[in-house]
Amino acid sequence: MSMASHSHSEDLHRAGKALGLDHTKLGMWFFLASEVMFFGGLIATFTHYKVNHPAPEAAALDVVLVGINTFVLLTSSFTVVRSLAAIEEGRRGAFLAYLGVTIVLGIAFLSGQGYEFVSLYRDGLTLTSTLFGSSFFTLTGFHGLHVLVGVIWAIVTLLRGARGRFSAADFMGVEIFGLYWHFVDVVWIVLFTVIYLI
Amino acid sequence: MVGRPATSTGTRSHPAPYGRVFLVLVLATAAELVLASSSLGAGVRTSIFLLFTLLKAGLVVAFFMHLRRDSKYYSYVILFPAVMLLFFILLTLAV
Repeated sequence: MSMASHSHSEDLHRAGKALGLDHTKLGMWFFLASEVMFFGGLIATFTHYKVNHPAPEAAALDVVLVGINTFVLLTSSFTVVRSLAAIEEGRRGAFLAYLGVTIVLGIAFLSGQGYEFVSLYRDGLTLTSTLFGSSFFTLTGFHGLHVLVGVIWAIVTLLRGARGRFSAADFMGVEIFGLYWHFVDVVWIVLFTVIYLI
Repeated sequence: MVGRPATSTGTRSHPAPYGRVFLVLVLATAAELVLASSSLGAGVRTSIFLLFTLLKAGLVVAFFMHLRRDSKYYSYVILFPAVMLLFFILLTLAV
């Protein structure tokens, strides 16, 4: 009789827990899986043009500037994971501080990318100038858009945390944000190699 | 088979090596930048770049995204499209 009173969603929730799964986190991983396919299409397009239609404009890219930006994004991933570790231990001050640094680093990355885009436009490489320009700006632009969404998400998480939200017993919201941020970092690790190094 | 419990509540049992992982990420990126301006052959450089990329991405996913100690089912969700992506890129290069 008591089994019959359980709702379908409660049964599903229980089944997920038995497998060691959290439904929110699983949902985030499915979203990230869809993002892999999204960026996969753009990366495949860029790679196709790069290999089969080599463009001299590629030499105009500033590897050193982008290398610095890469360090910035890697550091931001470190501060995000330290932020999560801090709230897991109930250290709200450290949690907020690391999240604040993450926001600054995210904005720094976007500023570096903005500077790069402006420099390339001044040199004549635009979204519509060549195949390389189109695939380059689409790919890096969408990644930048993801970083911007991440920065906004980090600000919202910071504000919620400052108002007492999240604790050592409830940090899933921070963990979900972290998954998104690290994924965007992983995408950049791939883009840095595909676009600038190879 | 029962996976590990979800980590939405409670603290993790062992301190994670975040600092060491970050150091490896930084050193690998620095090595890539040095390599980019070296006179090594393009084939060798590309191979090393791809190897380092896999290493860096793997470290972030395993440690920062906690796939190393979370349920393996999360890994399956993300690995399937990642393998498909590699297949698509190889297919694209073959056309």
